[in-house]
Amino acid sequence: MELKRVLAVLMRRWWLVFGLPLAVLVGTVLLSSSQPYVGTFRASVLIPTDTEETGNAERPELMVMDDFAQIVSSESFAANVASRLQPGTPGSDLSVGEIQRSLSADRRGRIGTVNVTRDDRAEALAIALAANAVLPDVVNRYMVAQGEPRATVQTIDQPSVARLNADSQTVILVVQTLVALAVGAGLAALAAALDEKLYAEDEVSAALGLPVLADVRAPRWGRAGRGWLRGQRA
Amino acid sequence: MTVPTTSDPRRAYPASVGRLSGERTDWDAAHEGDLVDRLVTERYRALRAAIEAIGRVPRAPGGPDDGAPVGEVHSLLVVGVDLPVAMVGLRLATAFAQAGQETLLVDADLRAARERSLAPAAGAASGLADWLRAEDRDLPCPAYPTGSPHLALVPAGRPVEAGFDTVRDDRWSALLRGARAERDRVVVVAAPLAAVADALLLARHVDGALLAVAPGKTTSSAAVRARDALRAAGGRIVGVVLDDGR
Repeated sequence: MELKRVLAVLMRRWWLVFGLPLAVLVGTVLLSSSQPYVGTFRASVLIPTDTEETGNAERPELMVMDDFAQIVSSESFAANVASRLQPGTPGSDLSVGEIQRSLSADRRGRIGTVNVTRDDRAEALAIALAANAVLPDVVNRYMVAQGEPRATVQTIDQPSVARLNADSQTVILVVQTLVALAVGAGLAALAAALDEKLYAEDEVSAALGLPVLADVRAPRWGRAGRGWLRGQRA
Repeated sequence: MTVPTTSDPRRAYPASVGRLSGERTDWDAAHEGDLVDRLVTERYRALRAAIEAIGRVPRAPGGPDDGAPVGEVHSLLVVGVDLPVAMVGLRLATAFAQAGQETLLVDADLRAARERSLAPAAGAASGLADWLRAEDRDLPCPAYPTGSPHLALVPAGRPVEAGFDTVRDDRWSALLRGARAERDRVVVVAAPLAAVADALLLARHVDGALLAVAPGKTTSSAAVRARDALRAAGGRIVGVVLDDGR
């Protein structure tokens, strides 16, 4: 089939070819705009316990770091964060439980990542800042034994806020739109294959084996354009 | 058989005949310079030229009409596959008349609703149906003059439920013979083939049939059925015209 004919078939159902990607685009944008904000910061945690032995790969201080995520998501940590929030600032009216539910963390090696998930951007940032401030004390209180040298907690990425999955959102949007465009074109082609109606002059001529002497239809813009041509609304 | 004309047709057919026969009306004055109307008029002039060329211009070898019977078309049946063609017939007849050809337009869509008929106020006058049913064989067929000096109209008359079933073949062929003797062109419009078979009864009495197809509405199977039925009835299809039935 000629490219021109393929395009004609697709354009006959342009509302499907373009409508589906448009719907997906709008839906994705709306969905992404309803995604919560995530405040994030990263810190290195150095626990100065030297138990390394030659030939022994075990690192007890790293095992201690396995507790990092549990401590950050604990009620105690949330209470510390809540006490850090100044009255009248965003997040200060949140309960400890609400703050606890918004906190999560993970670690890789000695680097811990703390996430604060809130629908409100200002609250997410305020809680992240407070968590960043109380983290050294909490680490030393719960992850270092009494009498041992203090752990060193250093922020390596300052708290920042972004939409959830913001980095991948653009890629997702483009891929979804392209897939929807392909699906729309496929549906239009399928509808054309199942459609027995005659549309174009060459289709009529080919189906009947007769010459098309004339197309006497008024142009599509005719009815709407009559008023415009006369300088008034139709 | 003669086809005389009666007087003062516009009193009975003001909307269709007055407007489309070329006479200037209030509507024309209001739409003077309407590009759309002029464009459509040009398309009918092109259709007229194509029909006039049939039988005069050699067919293109291998073309879609290659091998079709050759012969000029003086009497033409206009019939739609699944759309009314009264307006197509009327505008085509007007195009012939505007070229100075004496043209008779016969509305043979006897079952059309009055608002779609070429004679919307037909109750005031007789038409083709009345003439076909008349017992008096010498009664002239009522053809009415129009605003154009070259165009006359035989309206459908009062709607007939049975169509042409009750009409004898000889009466119809006599009408066309008489019309052809007096007119340069005879344009007959019939009911859609998908609805009724009246056009099949008329097809063999005319020089050619023009099949109207509505793009986006007519299916290929319906169009092929209509073509085959017309040919089986002895009709000679000269070509296809694309219209939307408005």
